[in-house]
Amino acid sequence: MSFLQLDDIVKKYPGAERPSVADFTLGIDQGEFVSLLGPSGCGKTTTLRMIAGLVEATSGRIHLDGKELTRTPVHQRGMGLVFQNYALFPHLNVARNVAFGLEMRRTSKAEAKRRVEEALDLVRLGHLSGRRIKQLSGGQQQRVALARALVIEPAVLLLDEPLSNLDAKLRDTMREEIRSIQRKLGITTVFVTHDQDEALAVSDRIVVMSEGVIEQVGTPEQIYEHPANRFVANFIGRANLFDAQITHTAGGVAELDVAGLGQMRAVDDQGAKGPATVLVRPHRMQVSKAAADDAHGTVETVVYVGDSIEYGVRVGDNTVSVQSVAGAAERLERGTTVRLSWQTEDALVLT
Amino acid sequence: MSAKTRSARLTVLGLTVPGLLGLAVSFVLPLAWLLRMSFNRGDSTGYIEETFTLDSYAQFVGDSYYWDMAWETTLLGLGVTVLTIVVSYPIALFLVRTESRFKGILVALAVAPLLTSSVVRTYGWLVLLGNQGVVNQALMGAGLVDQPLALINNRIGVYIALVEIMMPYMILCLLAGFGRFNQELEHAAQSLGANRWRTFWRIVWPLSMPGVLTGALLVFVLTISSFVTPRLVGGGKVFYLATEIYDQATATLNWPFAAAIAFILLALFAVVIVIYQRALRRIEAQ
Ligand SMILES: Nc1ncnc2c1ncn2[C@@H]1O[C@H](COP(=O)(O)OP(=O)(O)OP(=O)(O)O)[C@@H](O)[C@H]1O
Ligand SMILES: [Mg+2]
Repeated sequence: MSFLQLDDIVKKYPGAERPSVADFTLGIDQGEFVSLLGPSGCGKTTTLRMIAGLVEATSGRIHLDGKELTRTPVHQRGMGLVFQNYALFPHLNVARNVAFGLEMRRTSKAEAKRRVEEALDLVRLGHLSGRRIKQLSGGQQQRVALARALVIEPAVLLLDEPLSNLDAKLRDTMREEIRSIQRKLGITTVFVTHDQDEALAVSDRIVVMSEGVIEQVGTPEQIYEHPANRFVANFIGRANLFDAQITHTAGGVAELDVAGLGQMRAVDDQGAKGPATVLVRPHRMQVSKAAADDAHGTVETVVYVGDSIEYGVRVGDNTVSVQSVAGAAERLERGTTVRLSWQTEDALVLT
Repeated sequence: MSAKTRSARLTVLGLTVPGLLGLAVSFVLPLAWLLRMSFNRGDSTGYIEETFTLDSYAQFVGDSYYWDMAWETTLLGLGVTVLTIVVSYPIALFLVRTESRFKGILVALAVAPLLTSSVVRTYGWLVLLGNQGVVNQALMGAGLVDQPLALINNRIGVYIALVEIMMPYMILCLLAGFGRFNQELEHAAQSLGANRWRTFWRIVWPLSMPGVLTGALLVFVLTISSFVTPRLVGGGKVFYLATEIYDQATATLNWPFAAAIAFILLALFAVVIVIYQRALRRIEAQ
């Protein structure tokens, strides 16, 4: 059993037709940074709140460090929560916000003062301890919220889209900061986001969810390079998915008949047979000029994005995305007839 | 000053002048007239001597009967205010928290009593609280009391009726004052180790203070100036400043004395408003 263990967690809100979270089983190790990633409404917040105790699971069990806490009330779980809107107490100043959890624990005044200072220094806000919440920027409020959750030395730190209210640049800085603080304290962390870049950048492991169920659990590399299914492939990074028919498999490589492209090869871990889907990332696709009778399709859109050029190539009814490094190859014009190809190791058969 | 801000100022002026004029004519002028009247000399024959004397004020200050009355009035104001907060607060909190689709309707229901005049509602209480009223019938039916409790023609009845009449005002103020509150704050407090009780006293209550204060001010002022309810439910047996003003003006016909009491009541308002301002500034400075 892992440090934080969720077993067969189900949440069905009263009146809802389908459960918002179903059969959710996940083990999280001590000190691990795990992201819950998925589209809006897939049940990330619900799952996080069940861990926190703010939402009661319909069924299933939660264990922390071997002790069951499924029925433990919120205020006895000792988890640090950071909310999307920060939920800072507007009538208390920065230091009193951070001190709140310690006051609830009846920590002595002197020790509380020391720990509040430490926590504020950790998030680099030591100089603002006397400020009122209203007088803080979004990024500063975020840090106060983090300090307030960390100061109680929680067993688990739970973050619900903590960065979504910040502008893009600050978001990148803050996520690095959260990650480095997390490493420094070695605190077990569950981080909810619907931003794949964020999840890929900071997580030890990512849990991809859709419609209340886990689609895949894995390291960022595993999730990106070996998505378990079409949903994950589409959700993480950009993806071209081709319908294909497997004609022959040997040594982990499948020979395929790909609709619109003809005979191709792709990596096949599972030794699948019959109809399949092939995943190729746009930057792994190659495109070259070809005579009309020999071509797979026509260049439909050309978008220059600085370091690379993105082509949209029309193949039958579908549009294939190709990303090529600018300057590396001849630039293609709209309307050019082209052939598409890929290296065998860059294509993956999905089931 | 740029042209823009000057025209903005003119607009503000243009928009406020009609209201200010109305206020001057309907409020300030009568008040000035009343102030002048309080310095005349009157007697119980209704004769008013145009003069400038502090006799009426002296009569009030020199008579412990009126001091008691002022004290009872203040007590009524405070008592009704506190009781109204106590009974309205849970309702307002429920209305703020509920996720029911009928929330709008529930709020409307809570303040619906405002649609009927307080005179009508006062008669309602007379019926309910009388010796043959529902309350006494129920108590006697249940065998809790042998004789009807005296719930009207005394102070108890006045308190009960006023609290009910003031509730919608208090609920409205509380609802408006909960602006900074959201349930996520309670969740945050709980996650930090606060049980329900401490969450309430440390988070919910302080955040509702602006609404509580505004409601308290409104209810206090409405209570000590209310006349119909103390008069009818009190059955002419209990006396407050407002009822005394009426008696002096209509029964005793001593208008200067009535005017003087009116200004003493006004002074009480002023004290309360100063306290309110101080308190409000203190919460906002937090
Ligand atoms: N209190 C509630 N009552 C009823 N249904 C709810 C409640 N909270 C959430 N849901 C439903 O449960 C599902 C999952 O919601 P949840 O908030 O967990 O999604 P999420 O993954 O956090 O989405 P987002 O990225 O938009 O925050 C949604 O379909 C939502 O409508
Ligand atoms: Mg959410």
